[in-house]
Amino acid sequence: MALINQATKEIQLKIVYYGPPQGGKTTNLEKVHAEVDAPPDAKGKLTSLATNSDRTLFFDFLPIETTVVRGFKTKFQLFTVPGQVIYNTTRQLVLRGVDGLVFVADSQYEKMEENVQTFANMIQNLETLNQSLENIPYVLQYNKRDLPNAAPVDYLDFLLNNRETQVPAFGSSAVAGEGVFETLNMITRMLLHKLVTESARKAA
Amino acid sequence: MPPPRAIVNFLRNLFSRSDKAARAPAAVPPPAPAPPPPPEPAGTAAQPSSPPEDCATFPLKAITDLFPEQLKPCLRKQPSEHVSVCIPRALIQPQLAAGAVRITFAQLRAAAPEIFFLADAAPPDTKVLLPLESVLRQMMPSRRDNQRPPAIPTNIPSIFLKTGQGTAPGSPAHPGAKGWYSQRRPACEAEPEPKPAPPAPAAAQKPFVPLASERHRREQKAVATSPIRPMDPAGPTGPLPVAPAQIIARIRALEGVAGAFLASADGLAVAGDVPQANENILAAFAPTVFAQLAKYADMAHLGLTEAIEIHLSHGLTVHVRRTGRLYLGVLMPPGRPLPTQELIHICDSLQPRAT
Repeated sequence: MALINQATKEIQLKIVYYGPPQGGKTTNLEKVHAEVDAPPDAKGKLTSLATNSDRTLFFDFLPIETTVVRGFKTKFQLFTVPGQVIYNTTRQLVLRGVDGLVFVADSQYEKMEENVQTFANMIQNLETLNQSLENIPYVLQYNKRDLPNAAPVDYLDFLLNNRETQVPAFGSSAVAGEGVFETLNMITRMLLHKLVTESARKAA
Repeated sequence: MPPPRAIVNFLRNLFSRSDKAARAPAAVPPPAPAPPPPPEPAGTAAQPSSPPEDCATFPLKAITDLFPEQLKPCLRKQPSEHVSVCIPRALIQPQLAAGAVRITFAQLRAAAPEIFFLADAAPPDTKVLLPLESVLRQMMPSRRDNQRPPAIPTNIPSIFLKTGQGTAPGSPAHPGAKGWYSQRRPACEAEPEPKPAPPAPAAAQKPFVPLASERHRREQKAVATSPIRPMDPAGPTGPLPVAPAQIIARIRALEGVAGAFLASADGLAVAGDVPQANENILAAFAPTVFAQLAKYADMAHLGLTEAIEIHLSHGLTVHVRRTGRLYLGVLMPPGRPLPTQELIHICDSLQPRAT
């Protein structure tokens, strides 16, 4: 849930990168951290707890301060969840209070089933938190498009973007930094839009 | 004189095979030295009446390459690239939304020439993957056609830029600084002031216990008195009765306290004064670590977790305590006892009021 701190004139928004194991969630954050054009004090440190084989053990965290919205400094806190199923408790904990979601799907044919299962797991975990995907802005990122065994985008759309309302989806190669900023920009735009819309509704 | 057992078995196999072939002809002729004829679509034993257009054709080798370990010993000989099998689309179609398509070993054997498999070598219900790439080449599903289009805000430009692509986010010249907002109204119209915060509740106006040091007096003067507010005021938290920065200032004034922070259960930093550490990172990790340990403690029937302590190698202790929907972290230097009673008292004042 967005945190509006009247005292410090800050808005904090929480974005969680969710997806199957080794799909590129951490790589997304690494690329954002490495390549975002931001003043040093606006870009926080990327904190990552990973195993020796670069599997996320707990979660990754990257805070970024950005633009001013109605006189409020906006801070986006980017989180990833551990992809491995055994860490589902951590996934649930990281999802608490999420404002926006980026689902990072792995485009490889052999990962399609895991994509579907992880997407269903995300919905289930949201339900345990009394949240619904219908009420949370989210974006799909079809990662690893550069690999030769990438499945057609149409099929990924059929699997993951086939709900009542279509959502923005981006092809990406996070390793090459392609599609990373497009995805992040879209989810932040959607979040800010929601923030302004809800503020206006409450003010009315 | 009874015929030898081998002859009986041969005749039995011969007739059973010809009987099966009559019901479900093999999709392709068995591999032969001569160039194989083009695959001939055929139904399976399960669906003998399926016309060819109701089948999808797969190279048998592509399927056997995906065999699980337990099925590999069942392969009598490796099929060539030219041998293919026909699988009814009705078996495949319902599975497309799952991201993988499987048939049983029995269904595969029924569709394939028997020469490739050892008899009764594996349970017939063992699942076999079909190559998804081949599946999609023949039957690509499409999205529902009555989807609502995505709600993309057109009036909000992108905020984040890659290095070298333009002005940094957060700087006034950046298009995302407030342009996205001002685009929503005529350019001549001034951007309205933010809606004033609701008046601080009575509890927030109550003076705190005077703080000892000049530094804390300065801090107390500096902090705003308006409470933090979750986005949904009717949400489960409700406004806090005091400004979080004031809470932190009070805790920092306690004897020996080296730092303190408040974090929401979401992992967002609410307030903090931790000169020797990163407040954002502490806020992100402390609630999750706490919740994780609390869950395990509960699973082990140890009871409810009220606080956790992390002892660092250089002697510093991080004490994390849950208070309502917030988490309070206190850093203590080596050898200094935690002012537990004072902290509990302060935590009580953090309980949200009903809205």
